[in-house]
Amino acid sequence: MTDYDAVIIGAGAGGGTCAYALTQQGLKVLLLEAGPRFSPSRDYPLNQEDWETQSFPEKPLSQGQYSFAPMQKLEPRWKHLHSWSKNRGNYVLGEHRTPSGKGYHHVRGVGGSTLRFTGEAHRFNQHSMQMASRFGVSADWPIDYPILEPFYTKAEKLIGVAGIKKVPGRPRNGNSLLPPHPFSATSRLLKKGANKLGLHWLPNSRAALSQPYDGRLSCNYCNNCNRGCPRGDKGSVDVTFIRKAEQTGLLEIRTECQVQRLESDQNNRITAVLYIDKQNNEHNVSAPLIILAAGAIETPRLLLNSASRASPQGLANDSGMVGKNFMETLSWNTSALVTDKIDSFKGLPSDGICWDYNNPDSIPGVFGGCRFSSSTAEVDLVGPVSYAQRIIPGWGQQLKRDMREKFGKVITIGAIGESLPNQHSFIDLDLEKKDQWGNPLARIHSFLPEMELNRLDFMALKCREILDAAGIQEIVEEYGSYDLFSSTHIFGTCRMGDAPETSVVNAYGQSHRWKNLFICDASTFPSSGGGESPSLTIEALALRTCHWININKSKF
Amino acid sequence: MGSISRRKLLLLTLCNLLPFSGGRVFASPPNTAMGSSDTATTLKAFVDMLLPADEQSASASELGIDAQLLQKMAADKTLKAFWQRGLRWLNKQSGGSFSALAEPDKIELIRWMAEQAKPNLLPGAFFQQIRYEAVTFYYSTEEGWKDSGLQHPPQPIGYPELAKKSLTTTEVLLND
Repeated sequence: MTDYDAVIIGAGAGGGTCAYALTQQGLKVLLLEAGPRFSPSRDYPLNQEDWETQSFPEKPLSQGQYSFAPMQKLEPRWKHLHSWSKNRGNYVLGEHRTPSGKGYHHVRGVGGSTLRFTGEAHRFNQHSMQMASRFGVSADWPIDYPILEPFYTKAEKLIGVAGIKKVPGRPRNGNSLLPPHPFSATSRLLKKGANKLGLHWLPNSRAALSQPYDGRLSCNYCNNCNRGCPRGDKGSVDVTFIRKAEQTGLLEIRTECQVQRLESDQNNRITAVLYIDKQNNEHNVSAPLIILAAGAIETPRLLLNSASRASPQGLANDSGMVGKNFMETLSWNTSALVTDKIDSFKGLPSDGICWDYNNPDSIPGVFGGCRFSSSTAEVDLVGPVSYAQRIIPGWGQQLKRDMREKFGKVITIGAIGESLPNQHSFIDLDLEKKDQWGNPLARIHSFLPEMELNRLDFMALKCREILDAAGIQEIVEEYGSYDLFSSTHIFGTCRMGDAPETSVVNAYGQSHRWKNLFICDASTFPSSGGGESPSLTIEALALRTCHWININKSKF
Repeated sequence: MGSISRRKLLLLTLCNLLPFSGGRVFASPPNTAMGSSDTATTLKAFVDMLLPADEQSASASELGIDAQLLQKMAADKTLKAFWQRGLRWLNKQSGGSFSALAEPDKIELIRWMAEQAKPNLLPGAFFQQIRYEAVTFYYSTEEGWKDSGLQHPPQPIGYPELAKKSLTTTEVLLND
C-alpha cells in the first residue's frame, strides 16, 4: 500500500481515532508512530511475583526527549503544599520547583499514553468552554458543548464506557454507557467523608468494561490500570479505535519512525512528511491529508522544527501561537491511614469522583474549577513494596508487624484542577539540546502564578477535609504540583480558535493557512477544563474533524 | 564477640556534625579495599537485622535479599564504593565485625543510625539506602508479599468478587 489518502503522525488518542474514522470512510491511511507496539499479554507482567517493582514498561523509543527550563523558587508561605511522605520526608529539598522523575509522564507507542492511562472517560464541563468571555482568562472554545455531544456519544460507544447518565455540567442525549462500576472500599470511605461535607461522590465515567463488550473481557478489578491492562478491558486506543481501523485493511502502521519535518509549497499545502525509520533510512511520504497528533509537546516541536522560507517562525505559526499557552496537570494527592483493614489495593482506579467544584466559578477567589477522585492506585499504593518504601517506617520485627497490620489500610484522594495559560508557561526549542538527528528538543517552561497556587491550596485543603470527615487515623503522604512538575495531561500549545491572529487551527483542527494540515490532539484545547481527563474530548474532537473532512473531501 | 559502648554512641552523635559529601567522615575507616567475604558477611548480618525471621516469615537472607544487594553492588561502581564504606563503618563501630556483635548492641547501633544519624551523612544515608533496597527486594518476593497479606499478584485472578458488590439501588437511582 503506497498511495495514501492520509498520513497521520502519532498513534495516541487523537491519531488512533482519526485512523479509525478515516478508514471507515474508505480512505487509505498511513499511521507513523515514533514508538513501538506493545503486546498486552506479553508486556504487562501483572501475573509475576515481582509485579510491583515493574511500572509501565519502557521499550526502546517509547519515551520522548525534552528538556526543562529552570522553574520558580519555592516560598515559605506555601510550605503546607510541599510533597512529602512519612518515610522519606520532603521530596524536594532544593529551593526551586523541579520535575518529578521525567516530569511529563507519557508513552510513545501504538495507543500512546492511553496505554498507561487510568482510563477516565470525561466529557468536558459545558461551563468551562467560555473562560475568556465569562471570566477574562484563558480563551473561549470556538465550539460549544452541544456541537461536541454526538461525537462524545459515538466515542463512548466505540470505547465501552461505564458510568452514570447524570453528571453535572454534561447533559447527554440517549444512553451510550455500560452500567457503572461498584465502588471500591476506598471510594466508599471517601463517599462517606464527602457526604458529611454535603458533597456528592459519584461513580466515575470509566473506559474500563463493567461487562463484556465488543469481544473484550470485563474488568476484574486488579487496580493496576497504570501498569498496562493485560486483559484488554481498559479502553486504550490500541484495543479500540486502532483495532477496528486495522480490521478494514486500509490502515498501515509504521512504528519506530521519527518524523523530522513537514514540507510545504507555495499553495499553502503540506507536500511531504520526512521521517527516519528504525533502520535509520530516510523516507519522504505525501498524501492529500496530513494529520498531526503527536501531543502538546511534540506537535509544536515538529511545527517549529519545520520552519522554512515561507514560514520562518515555524509551520502554521503565523500567529506566533505555536508552543504558547502551555497548560499542565495541576494536581494534588493526600494519602491517609484508616482504622479498618479494607484491602484498599483492590478495585478500579479512580472509581469515584466529586464534581461539586468543577464549574469554573465554584472555588472562592479563583477562576477555574477542579475535581476530586479516589487515587490510591494512581499514586501507586497498591502493593507492599510501596508501603514499606514510603508509608511504613522502621525496621526489624516492628516493621514486619506494622506491614501486616497496615497493608491495605491506606487510601488516597486526588484532585486535579484547571490550568490557566500564562505568558511564562510555553514550549520552545532548546537549541543546545538536540536529538540524535540534530533536531532541537522541545523545552518545557512551566510557571504557576498566584491564581494557580490559590486553586492548588483549595484542592489540598479540601482533600484533607474530606479525609478528615471520612474518619482517617493520620495523613502519611502528600504529593502535588507546587514543588513537583508532574504532568500526564498537557494542553494548549496549538490553540484552536476562529481568529487566525490568535490561534493555530480552526474549530475543525485545520490550520488556518495550510489547508490540508489538521491537528488532532490536546494541543488544540483553548482551556484545560476543571480537572477533566482529556482523552475522550481528544477523541470526540478527532471524530468531528474526520466527519468534517468526509463532508468536504472534494476539497482535498 | 564485639560490643558497642555508650561512649561510642556519643561519638557517633558527633559524626552528625561533620559533612558526608566531599568531606571525611568522623570515625570512617581508611578507604581500603574490603574483602568480598567481609562484605557479604556484614551485609547479610545487617539486612537480617532490618528484616529478621519471626514466627510467621523468613529473614531477608533466607529469601536471598543479601545476594540481590550484592548483585546490585557488583553492577554499579559508585554504589559499591558507597555501600562498602558503610559496611566498613559498621564493622569499625562494632570493634571489627558487625556480624559478631551481640544482638542488643546491633539493635542499639541500628537504632542510632535510623533515628539519630543525619540522612546526609554516611551512617544515616547508608541505613536509608540499604533499608529502601532491602524492603523493595523483600516485599517483591512471594513470601514477602504474602506475609503482608497479599494473596496473589494482581493478574490473572484480580478481584472479581468486587463486581458482585454493585451499587445499591438507591445509589443508582440517585444518579440516574
